[in-house]
Formats: sequence, C-alpha cells, structure tokens
Amino acid sequence: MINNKKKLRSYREFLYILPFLILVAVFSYYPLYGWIYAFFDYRPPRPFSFEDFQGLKWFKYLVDNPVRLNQTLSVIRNTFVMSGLAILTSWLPMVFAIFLNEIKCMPFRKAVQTITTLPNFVSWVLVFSVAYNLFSSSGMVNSLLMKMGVLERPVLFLQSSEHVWGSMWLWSTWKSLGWSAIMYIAAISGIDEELFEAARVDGATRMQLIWHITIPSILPTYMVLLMLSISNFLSNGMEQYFVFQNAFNKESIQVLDLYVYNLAMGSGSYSVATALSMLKSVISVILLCVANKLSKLIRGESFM
Amino acid sequence: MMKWKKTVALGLAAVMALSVTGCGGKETEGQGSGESSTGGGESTAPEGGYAESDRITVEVYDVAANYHGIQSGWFAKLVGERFGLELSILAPQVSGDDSLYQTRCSNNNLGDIILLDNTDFIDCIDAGLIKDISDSIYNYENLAVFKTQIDAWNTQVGDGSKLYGIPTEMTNTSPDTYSENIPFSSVCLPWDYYQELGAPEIKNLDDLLDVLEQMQKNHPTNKDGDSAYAISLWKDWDGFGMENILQTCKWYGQEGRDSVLLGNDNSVMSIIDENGAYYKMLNFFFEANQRGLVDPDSPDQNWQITDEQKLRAYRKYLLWYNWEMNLAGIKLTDEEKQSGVGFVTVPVSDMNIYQVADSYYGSGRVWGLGAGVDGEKEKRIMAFLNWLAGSEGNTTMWCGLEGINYVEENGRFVQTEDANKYMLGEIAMPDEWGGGSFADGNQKLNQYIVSSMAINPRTNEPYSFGYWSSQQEKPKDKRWVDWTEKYGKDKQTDYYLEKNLMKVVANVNVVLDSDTTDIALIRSQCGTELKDASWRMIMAKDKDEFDRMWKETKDKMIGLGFEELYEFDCQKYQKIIDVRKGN
Repeated sequence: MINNKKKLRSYREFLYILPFLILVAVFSYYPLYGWIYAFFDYRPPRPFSFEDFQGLKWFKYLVDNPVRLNQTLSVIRNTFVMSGLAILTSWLPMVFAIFLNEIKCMPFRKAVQTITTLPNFVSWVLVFSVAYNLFSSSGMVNSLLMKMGVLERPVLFLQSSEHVWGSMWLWSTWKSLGWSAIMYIAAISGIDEELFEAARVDGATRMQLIWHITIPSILPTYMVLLMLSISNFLSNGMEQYFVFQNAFNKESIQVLDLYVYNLAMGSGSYSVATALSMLKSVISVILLCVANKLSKLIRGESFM
Repeated sequence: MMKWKKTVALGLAAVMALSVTGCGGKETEGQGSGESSTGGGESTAPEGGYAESDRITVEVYDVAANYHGIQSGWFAKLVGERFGLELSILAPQVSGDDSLYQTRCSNNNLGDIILLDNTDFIDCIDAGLIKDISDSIYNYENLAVFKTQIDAWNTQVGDGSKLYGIPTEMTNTSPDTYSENIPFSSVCLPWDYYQELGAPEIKNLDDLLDVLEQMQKNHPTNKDGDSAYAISLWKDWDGFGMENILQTCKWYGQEGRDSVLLGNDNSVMSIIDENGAYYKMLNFFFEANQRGLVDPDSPDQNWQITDEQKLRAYRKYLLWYNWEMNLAGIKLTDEEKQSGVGFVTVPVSDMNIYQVADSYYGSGRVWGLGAGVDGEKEKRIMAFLNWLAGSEGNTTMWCGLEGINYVEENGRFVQTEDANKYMLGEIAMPDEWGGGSFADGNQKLNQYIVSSMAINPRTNEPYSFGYWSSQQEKPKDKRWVDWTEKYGKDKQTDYYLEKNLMKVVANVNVVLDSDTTDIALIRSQCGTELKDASWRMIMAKDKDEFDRMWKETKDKMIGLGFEELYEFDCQKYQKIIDVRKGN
C-alpha cells in the first residue's frame, strides 16, 4: 500500500517536470536532427535527398590543404583570443561591483549603476552606428582632429586591423560591464551583515573588509560564472563581429560563429557550415567537462 | 553579378529629371514590332477597376528591388485598381546575403511573382518552384510579341518543350547593335574642370591620373566647401571581386564574370592574371590612392551615400557608368548647364571599351510565376505581366504618367513643364493619384520586361526619355555642344567606334550551368577573398605591400580551389563565346 502510494507520487512528480523535458527535447535535441546536413550534399533550392550521401567529405574539406587548414585555424585562433581576453578579464565586473558597493552616496551609486547597465540593452547594430559616427573617416573624432589641425587626412580607425582585438574587447566590456556586475551586487547584498560588524569591531579597515569578507563570500558566484563562460568558450556570439567586420579586419575578428554564418548564409554552403558547427559543439562539451573536473580538483565541488 | 541594375530606377529618375544626355538623330533602326496597347488579359477586370476589398496580395520575390515591403503610392493605386493586386515586394538585396533565398527555397515557396538570375531560375525550375505557363502565355498579346525571345530562352530549359520564364529588358531593336549614345562604362569627367586644364589629350591611365590630380588640386572642395576627391568608391555592390574594378575592366576590353575575364575579342582569361584588366585597374586605383585621390570614406560607404552625398554634390570627379552622369547633374541649375558645368565622357586613346549590344534577348534575368499560383490569382498576375510587356505598361514604368510627366502631342511624347518638380518631389501628386511624392510612389520593382531602348509603338521612339525627338530638339547643354565641336561627332559611341576605342559584342541570353555544391563553395570563398584583398590592396601603404598582398591573395585563392573553379567557368562561359562567334 505504502509502496503504491510512493509510486503514484513519483508519477505525479514526473508529470510536473514533463513540460520542461518536452521543451528541452523540442528546442535542444530535435534541432540536432539538422546535423545530418553535414554528411550530405545539400544546397537549396534543390530538395534534400538521401542519395547525396557524402560521408565525412565536408569535415575533410575544412582541413584538407594548408590554405584551408590555415583558414580554419585562424578562425579558431580568433575565437580563442576573444574568449580568452574575456575570461582573463572576467574579474572586472566583480571588482566593479565591489567598488560600486563601497560608494556611500546612494544617488550617485544608483546613477552609476544605471548608466553602466544601459549599454547592455543597446543592440550591436546600434553600438556599431555609434562607433561609426564617432570613428569613421567623416566621424566626429576625425572631423574634430582635422578641424584642430592635428590631422591632415582622416585616420581610418574602423578600417584597420591594428589593435582590433583590443578595441573589440573594449567595446564588449563597455557593453556588458554594468550588466555582469548585477549578479555580484546581488551576491554582496546577500552577505551576512554580522560578519562586517564583527570585523569592524575587531578594527578591520575597509580594504581588509573587502579582502577578507566580501571577496571570499562572492568567490563561489564568480567560480560558477567562470565555469559557464568556459563552457561557452567557443560561442562568443557573432553579432558584434558581424557588424564590425570589413575587408580590413576580417582576418582578425572572424570568430567561429561568424565563420559558420558566413559559410552558410554568405555562400550557401550549409553542409560545411553544419560540419563546422558540429565540431564546435563537440569541443564545447569537452571544455565543459574539463572545467567541471578542474572545479572539483580545486574547490572540491562540481556542478554536474 | 550585375549589381548595377540596382540603380536602373535611379538612372531612370535621372534621365527623366534631366534634359538631353545624348545628342544626334533619332535612333529608330528597329521599328516597333506592333505591340498593342490594350492588354489581352485585362478583359477580366471589372468595369471601373477592382474595388478596394477585392485585392489579392501577391508576393514578388525580386532580386532587383532595393525596397522591401508593400508597394505604396500611385503605382500601388494603379496596380490595385487595374489588376486587383497588391504587391508585397521581397528584396533579397536589402538583407544583402543569400539567406532570404535559401530559407524561402527550403520552404518550397519563393513567391507568387518571381524574378531571378538565369541560373537560379533554372535551379528553381528543377526544384519545382516555378509554374509552367506554356498554355497561357501566348494568349496574352503583349507577351506574344516577344515570342522569339521568350522561346529562345525557354528552349534552353530541360527538354525545351515547356515555357517557364520571361526574360528581362528585352528590346525590339537588334541583338548586334548598341543604341545608346554613351558606352555603359567609360571615363567620365567634369567638362568644366577638364576645359580649365586645357582639355589635354589623355593617352592612358597615367595621363588620366595626372588630370585627376590637377583637378583635385584646383578644386579640393565643392562649392559648398565640402572636401572633394577625384575618386570615391563604394562597397555594397561587390560580388566576385570589387564591383568598381569590374566595371572599369570594361575600359580595357574585358568583362569580369567571377573567375574569368571575357574579352570583346572572344577571349577568356583568368581574373587573377597579371595581364588582365582586373589587375590593371587594381593598380590604377592603388596608384590613385598613393596620390591621395581616393576618398577615405570609400571603404565604408555604400552606394546610397556615394550617390547622395558625393555624386550629386559634385564631390567626385571620375565616373564610369553612363547613367551616373545624369545623377551627377540632377542638382545643376540652368545657368550652370549653359556654362558647361556637368559630366561628359572623355576618350582615352588606349582604350578598348567592352560594350554589350542592346539586350534584345534579355539581360540575364527572368520573370516567372510561383508553382502554387493558380485560378484568379494567376489570371490577375498574367494580366499584370502582359501589361508590363506592352506599350502602356512600359510607358508607365519608364516615362511615368500622362499629364504628370509627359503629354502626347502630334503622336509623340513631350515632357511637361512640371515633370522635374514632380520627380524631385517639389510638387505632390494630385489627389486622384493619392498624393505623396512621385518618387515615393514610383514602382519599386526596379526591373522591366522591356528595355528603355526598345521602341514604343505608340510613338515610334524609344521609351527612354532622353531619346524622345521632343527632347532632342531642345537646345543641348553647352558641354555636349562643346563635345561635338571638339570630337566632330554628334553621337559619342560613333566617335568611339570610329577611333576603335570600343567594340560591341552581341547580346546573348544563354542559360549557364549551375554550380555543384563544391564549386559554389569555392566560388564564394575565392570571390570574398578577392574582394577583401582588393580593398586592402587599394589602401596599401606602398608598392611592396601591394605586391606582397597580391601574391598572398593568389596563393590563398589557389589553395581554396581557384583552378578548379576557373576550369569550370571556362567551360561554362565557352557557351557564351560560341554563341557570340556564331553571330
């Protein structure tokens, strides 16, 4: 009797999560069906046909001579550099949140927080148009410098491959800093106030409070976010690079996602693009496992 | 390919807004082939036109359109009342890549009215996206007029027994002659500035650079004080390589078609051959930039900006398209025109212009119907296409509206006094046409079944405004009077032909093999590589960097499979060469 009741309950609870399982199946697993394009010769408007089986041809295509291999490698290099820069500087939002938290003048603090969060809601297309108006050959910066007599001919900021990694990183940091800090601000407000009070009674300075209480308390949040960003290492988004790309900087900023897009939409090569994005998924899964293992080794807890 | 068609409508606007661009006598070598102005299919329309509620919205997949959305304004009103249609235009050019085409193709519905490049059209027929219109097409009398051309195109499809498509821009002139006064692409300079330098003879591109350099030195700004450059390029028409280079290749006898350069002597050459025109013109633009003649805005401006802010504002001094000169003159005042301001085509002694004859058999694109169109919708669409192929439709498309843009006097068209003001939007359209500006309500299809150089049977003159006898009789602008005086010819192309500066190749409308997936991939990767490299090379710091980049690009293209592509294209374009030789 009791056993039966337990069984019934487990069925009921399974029904609770069923909608979510269906959602995951429909939106995350069903699309994987599209992977078969990677093994066939598919080009619209010709309908897809099982007779055009190509095996691993498109995978080989990506690496089958030095030039193509180089192209694939340079795309992977760009992806690693851009994601690497983001991960190396992923502590910035945390520090920003901590310092923001130290501001005692509330109106000022709120103003800073709002202003730094806003860019997150501006789409990349608009960000680019801002960049264009500021830095194009007839943009504000060039006009100003030329009117002041500093320059004779405009400097082509956007058409240069120099420092492009740095400037891309600056744009994305500018856009996301305030938004990413929100998570840490929430974590900081969750720290038990008694800890601070006790430390203050013991005569701790402000820096000591930060160093010994705030940072250790929000480090778990930081670690989780870090793991997530490592698992997303290869998906650094394409919008930013899509809007900023041009003939001059493409070699340096064409990241994996953008390359997949350019291959599929630009040249109609769905099969190659699918093959490449499959590789990407596989590498992402490996990275996630590695990050998980590392977390277990270092902190003794894993998230999978 | 053929991105210039984007601006056909713009060019038309310019032609209409301006006075005579060419000189010389009437060109009516080909008589009108008896088009009728009353369409055969229009009998289905109810008396007094279709009611507002009885309209069918049709999707027009239009590779030529620059406008995405529902057609509005006076043209919408006309099409709605006459044919009971509302045109929802799908413009793949607006998104700028293949995504719209591919997603709609995989969805098995491209649109109701479909305009595609030849090769894509064939692919879509194979994929079952296009309707077979063999049974009905020749019941429509205006379309039946073009039976020769329509049959010639459709016999190339499958076993040749069925009719699917209607070629674009057909004429009733001849496939071997070129009717316009000015070559499609040639060196065009501001006549006043050129005169100011003493109109020196230009023997080659080096001389041209010297002339441009002096012009820019004498006129570093336009009259408003905005900086001007001899050359201003734009990026959004690029395809396989830079479109600006591909068009100027025609100065030296070659037309770039992806990996090959087709010569006007029926030769075929690789586009990355150092003896070819592409490399030559790449060098020319590089040299120009070394001398500071290239507008620094070039790499990030599109055609619209170039047109509105540079061309019409007199901020660039070298043009090549013949219609570009008209746009450059839109803002000129009458006094300026009478004092010789404006652009003209200037001969360069070592040129050998590649000119394709009138598009008798079509210009390389095709109109068709979506496979799912039938019943009343099909009837209405066919009636509309029939109208577009006839005198009345073409007069509307190319000349505008009677009473607004022109009036008929003694059997010929005469421009109305207010035509320019309507074109420039200074006068709103009358209420019967729904108000708004003429340009906003103008047709956004941007592609025609019949060419502007075809003869309008109603007047026995070409549709193109500048070639109306009433326009030819008006006093010519001073620059053209001067031109005739200096070069001794009324018609520019006569001079070019006599001096062997131009060679006309026959118009053929051959359906070419479509790519395999492998070739398509190589084509797009090589094309992008060449395009990007061309921009970098023009902006290169010095000759060393230029040479290094060229070598890298060639190596890279070859690594991506250029040779395989070249071989494929040689075979493909041999078909065109063969037909041309046959002519």
